[in-house]
Amino acid sequence: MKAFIAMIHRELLEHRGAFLVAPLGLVAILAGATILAFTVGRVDARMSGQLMTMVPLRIAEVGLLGLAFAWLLYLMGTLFFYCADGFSADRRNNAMLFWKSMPMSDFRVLLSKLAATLTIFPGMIFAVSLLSGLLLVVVITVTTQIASGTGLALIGGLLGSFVQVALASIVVLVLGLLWCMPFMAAVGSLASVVGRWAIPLSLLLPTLLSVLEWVTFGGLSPVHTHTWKYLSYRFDFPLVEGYLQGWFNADLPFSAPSFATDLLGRIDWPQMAVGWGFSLLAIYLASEYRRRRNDN
Amino acid sequence: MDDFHSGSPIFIQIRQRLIEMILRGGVAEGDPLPSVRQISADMQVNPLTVTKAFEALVDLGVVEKRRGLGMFVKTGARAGLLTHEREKFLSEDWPRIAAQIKALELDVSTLLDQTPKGTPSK
Amino acid sequence: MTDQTTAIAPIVSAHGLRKKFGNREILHGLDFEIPPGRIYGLIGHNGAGKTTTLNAILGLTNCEGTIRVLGEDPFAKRAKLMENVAFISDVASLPKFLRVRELFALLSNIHPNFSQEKARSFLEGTDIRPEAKVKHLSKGMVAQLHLAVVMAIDAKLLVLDEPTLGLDITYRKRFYRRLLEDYMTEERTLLITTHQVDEIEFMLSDIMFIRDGDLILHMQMETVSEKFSQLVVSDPASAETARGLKPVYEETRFGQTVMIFDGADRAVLETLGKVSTPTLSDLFVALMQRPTVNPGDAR
Repeated sequence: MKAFIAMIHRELLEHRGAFLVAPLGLVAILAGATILAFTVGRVDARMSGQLMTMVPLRIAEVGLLGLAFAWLLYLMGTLFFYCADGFSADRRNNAMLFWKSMPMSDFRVLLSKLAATLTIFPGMIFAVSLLSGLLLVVVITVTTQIASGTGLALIGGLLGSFVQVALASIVVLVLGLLWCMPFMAAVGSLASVVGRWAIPLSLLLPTLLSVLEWVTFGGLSPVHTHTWKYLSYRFDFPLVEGYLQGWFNADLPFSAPSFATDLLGRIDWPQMAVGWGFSLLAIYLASEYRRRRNDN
Repeated sequence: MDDFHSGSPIFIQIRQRLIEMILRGGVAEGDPLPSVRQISADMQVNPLTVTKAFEALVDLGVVEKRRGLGMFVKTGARAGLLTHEREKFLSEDWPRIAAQIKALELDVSTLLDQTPKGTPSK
Repeated sequence: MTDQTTAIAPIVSAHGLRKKFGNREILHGLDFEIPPGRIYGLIGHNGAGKTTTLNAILGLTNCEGTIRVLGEDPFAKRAKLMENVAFISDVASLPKFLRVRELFALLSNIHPNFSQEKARSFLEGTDIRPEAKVKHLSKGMVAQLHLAVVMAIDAKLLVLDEPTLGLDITYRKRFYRRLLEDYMTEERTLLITTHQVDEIEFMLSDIMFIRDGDLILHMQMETVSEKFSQLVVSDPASAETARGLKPVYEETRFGQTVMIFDGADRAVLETLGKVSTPTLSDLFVALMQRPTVNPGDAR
């Protein structure tokens, strides 16, 4: 287990650029821009502050949720590229034989890469998203304080919203990543065979499979095939339906527990389990391929 | 340092160097010889070859193995070696050299006068 | 060098080792055993099957026939085997994105037999700093670092495939010195391939010559002088007589004829010219050009 954790840590060391340096850089730029906006008077603190006093918590919630969603998109994007890149990096960096001289099977090495997509990488992004959320809380507090002098009174409520959104983010991250695991495993496995060609291939493959089914079994068009329907169903994560929609239309404070129970109830658990099985199989097949080829 | 010639086996050449070391007083009687590892690394020679050279010295009775400490030059080793090397010189080298002196028509007494000065020593 | 010669388990044993890539057979059934405590030289031209043989030993490729390393099937049990086998491959490099310090920390978590203290001590006296990134080190420094890494692994078998390729002579000498001084013991076995045969000739205890997928020679260095002789003849008459003794190789240098004999009587050769034991590189040249293979020569 110690070795396995070390291998996950190794992935972070190798890809700290995308999962630590770049996000922190983004937050730094954001913070810098905010400070700049205040100092040069670009933001009319009075006006926006007054806006805040009307529905301050509502705006904070929307802002925090928006930020969390933006980070989720960032995470999905980088994880996709990581899978295509990280799973083939050993070969490309010419260090394959070094890793093969370690007492660790190819299956465990590839599994550690998949585990990294589920643990340390989202963990890093989550930490950075908390930082950016706190920054937003500070901005709202300061502007409201300047405009109406009620900013400091607001801070308790703001932090409450911050915690609720953070809790909801964790739930979304955990469930979303578990749901998406087969896609990451598929891209990663593909990458261990074809290298970074996995990027275009993984985008092409669903279309190719659908066309294949369409050609063989007929149907209205490639997008009306079972393959296509299944893949689009499988890719869809029920995030914005249900509670979130209701919350948006009603005037209730955002509640992480209600959001979580609602989301948990709308997840197709059998499909979730099928996805995990598929992931393990894909990783296993890729590791058998990696075990056999030694042209590094 | 690690130039060997292809004439005789390496372990004999190493043995010979160790003998020269003892004769020149590089290692005093009762003192330890360099370790197998040291010689092996210095000369980039297989440790087994060095061990074999040591064993040859043990057979000559000039060196003894002390458990866990290494190889030591025995008392009286130098005298023993001198006798051994003198015999070897007289039986193997001298006839050849004498023949060469004769062939070159050199005079032994002049030769003895000359040697200490000009010739570069090896 | 142990006194009990009673059945010491070999470190590596291969029987009928074959490897095909498509229709082309790279290894034509090798049989050999490597006992512990020895320094083996595996010598052959590029493409002769050296790397394939090493890959078979290291479990990097699946072969026909039987191969056992420390009693295990290397292809099936590579991960387990690597606890006791270390190797540097000619094409391998260390992960470039790591710092030396990070590499050592990582290894001490991944490898149960890696000693960080030892690795650090091997780097003392070099220009390699713990904070340096691998990608910023020179080729020679990476080789030194890699050697420090494998020497800090308490392994029973160390395989070095062209470890000094592209390094200058100072680095090469230091590299081998380190190995003999700090690593080699009676329990450890070393398997080296190199093109610079002359440099390691006296380090080796045994040699294996591989040519076109066959093991054409496998013997202890000590017995090379019993089997092979090199004869230098100056006059044509003696050369003609010597030719009658069927040399395995003949060439002319400075108007003298140099011949290499396999199993000829040295006493007879002495009467014809100057006799010596061929160097490894002379033997290599002689045997690699030999037109017919005599499998009986391989032990």
